Amino acid sequence: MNGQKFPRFNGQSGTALTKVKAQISPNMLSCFFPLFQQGITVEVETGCSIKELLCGQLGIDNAYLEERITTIFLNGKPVDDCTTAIVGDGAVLALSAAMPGLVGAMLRKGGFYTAMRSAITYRTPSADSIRANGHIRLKLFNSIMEEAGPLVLRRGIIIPCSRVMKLLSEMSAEIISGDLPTSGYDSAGADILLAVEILAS
Amino acid sequence: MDKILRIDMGAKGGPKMTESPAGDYAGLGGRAMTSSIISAEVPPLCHALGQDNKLVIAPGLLTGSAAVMSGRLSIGCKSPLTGTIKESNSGGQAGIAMARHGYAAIVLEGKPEGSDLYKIVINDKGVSIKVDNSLKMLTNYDLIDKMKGEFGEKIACISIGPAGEMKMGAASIAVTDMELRPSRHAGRGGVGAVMGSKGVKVIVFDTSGLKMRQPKEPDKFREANKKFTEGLKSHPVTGKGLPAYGTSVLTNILNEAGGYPTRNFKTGAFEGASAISGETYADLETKRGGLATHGCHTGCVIQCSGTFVDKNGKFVSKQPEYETVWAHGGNCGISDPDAIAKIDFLDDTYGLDTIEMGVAIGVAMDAGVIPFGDAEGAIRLVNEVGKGTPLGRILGSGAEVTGKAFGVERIPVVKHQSIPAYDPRAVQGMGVTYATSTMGADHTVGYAVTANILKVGGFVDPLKPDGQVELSRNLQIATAAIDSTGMCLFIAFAVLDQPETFQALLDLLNSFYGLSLTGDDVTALGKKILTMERDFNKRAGFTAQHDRLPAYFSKIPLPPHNVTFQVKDEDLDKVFNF
Repeated sequence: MNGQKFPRFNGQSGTALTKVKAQISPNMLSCFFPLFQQGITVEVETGCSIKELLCGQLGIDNAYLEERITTIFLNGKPVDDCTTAIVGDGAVLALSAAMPGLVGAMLRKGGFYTAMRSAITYRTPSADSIRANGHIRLKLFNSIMEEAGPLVLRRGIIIPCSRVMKLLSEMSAEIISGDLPTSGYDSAGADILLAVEILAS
Repeated sequence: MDKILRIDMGAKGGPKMTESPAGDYAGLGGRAMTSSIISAEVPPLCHALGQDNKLVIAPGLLTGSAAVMSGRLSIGCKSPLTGTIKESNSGGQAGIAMARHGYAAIVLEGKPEGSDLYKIVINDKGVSIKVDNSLKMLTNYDLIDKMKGEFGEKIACISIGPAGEMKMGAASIAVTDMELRPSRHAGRGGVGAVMGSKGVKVIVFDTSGLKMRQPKEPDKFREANKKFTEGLKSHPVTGKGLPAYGTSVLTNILNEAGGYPTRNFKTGAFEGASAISGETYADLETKRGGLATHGCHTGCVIQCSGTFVDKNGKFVSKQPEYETVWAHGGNCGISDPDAIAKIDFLDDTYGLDTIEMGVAIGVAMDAGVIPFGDAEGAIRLVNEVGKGTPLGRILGSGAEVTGKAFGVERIPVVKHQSIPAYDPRAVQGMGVTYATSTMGADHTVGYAVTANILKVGGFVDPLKPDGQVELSRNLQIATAAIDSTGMCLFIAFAVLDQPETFQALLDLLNSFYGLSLTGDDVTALGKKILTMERDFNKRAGFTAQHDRLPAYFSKIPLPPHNVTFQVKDEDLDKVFNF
């Protein structure tokens, strides 16, 4: 096992994550779509705004955040202002493009119809703005999966080893660094830091 | 499109038809036409399945023209489900064919004695009405196969399945799509039962040689159509989200917001949502060789539909819409996309409203008839409805009857019609619309153009406490007007965000008819329609007390946000203060 070691997601001291880097062809990106929708764990610096996290840490372009990621949920609550909503450790952050219907319009950030969902709107920071290393569950929906998914994958996602094995076998992926644990390791329950590069088409 | 065909199905000696100029109804289309005729000619206290009710079928003002997205068809009556006035509309090809045959409306009146079933055929030689009892209890798909055998492929049909013949409260009216499949439905309110009560199984339009309706100002019309199309294609919702994923793209979003009614509205989040999302359906369709991007009628440039096939590439159903996937999916605890698509097909072929059926089955599950999550059991129940077994008759009568039959308290209906796929506790503005709609709980009545563009009642501050009441009012006004144009409501997203696209829509109407309508005129039309509909309902016995959600929405918190519906009754009563 020659993979790099990272702090283990479940917070157990003295353990570390195995890092595996793989390459896949562009048409295999859709294998990650179920994961993106259910949520992927990523290691980030928490205690910052959504905008700082997405643009400063994940590398999402400012204009893309403004124009394309028009619907954002933090812990299940629609967000209107990405600069004031604070992402804490363990938060669930969901990103979507503009959605159809009156409800789609209601849920958009800062939209005209926000009053119609005021009962669930994200209002005050629910997390401290103290910076610290932490983890969030990031959900990507609809076109954001295709557009921002590769960026997130390249940076690395934390998922159970058993899921990695299944995914990589489905995709015929090439592992370019790191090894998947085989024996002498709790491979079913262990988390892996998987970084994936999408090959140019 | 300047004549009205009336067929008195109860005339002595058999159905009698008359054709006349549109007269007092000239210049109306879609919902404006159906609600005008029903309001003026149907006694509000009549039995919805009796001789005094009328079934009015009307294409929109632009239907049959070259205007993109203009193929919608409105069907109106007094609803046997709600007891209110009803307009239910559908895509498909029949609206276009009807408009090109020159009909602004077809009105089925009276009630035949006996049990004969009729087939109406409209072609360039005229209209024929014949008894055809060989069609009895045929499913919509079998019926259309038979019509194809009889008349060939150049037809468009409006039909009912067994549910309509059995006059069920959940019965829909099917409209054939571009592939001649009866997959598009005027679903809500039991309009199929009214068609069944008139003894009409199918209306067949011969489409061969039909000419497109021509605008009065062709150059302006062409330019407006171009701008309108560009506006739709450039908008992220109509140009990308809907074509790629269909309306079920809303599944993940509503689920994330905690507003996705799950297991008969018990919670607002479903653990199996991602398995039945629009993203998952589109991916499955693409991988299996189906079609993830497809229109439901000629001239559709949004293409939010698709074709769902099984693992062997065999047709199962059209791509189920969001409300269908929710009703038969999360609302019933079912996360199997194949099972939901199969139920969608069964609903279509038996002629059932997918929302009413899904909610009725959810209520039955709540009563313990079958467990939540039992996909095979749900399929069995829909088949019982199609066969008309005693249990099927109860379910086919809708969620309210089902709840009463099984002693369920939690029955999500307003004015006897099932609440659709957005929990009003989480999205309270939608609750305002459900409660006050003239049609019973309906997600489409407040689905349209921004109040600021239309300037309905002035600029609305969305942050004001009563903002959601005002927004609901304005949206209902705007939607009533849009429903009259024949335009698909999905144009609203582009029109909402892009004033130039809204102007292009006005320009389409103006250049087609040689008019000079402004946004104010559109607003006035919407208000007029709503006023007519409210007046009909008032005369039918509906009061402010009917403009309410079931009490449990105000009492039982909805997880995960644990919110209740908090809009006050006195605020609901202000919705129609215009």
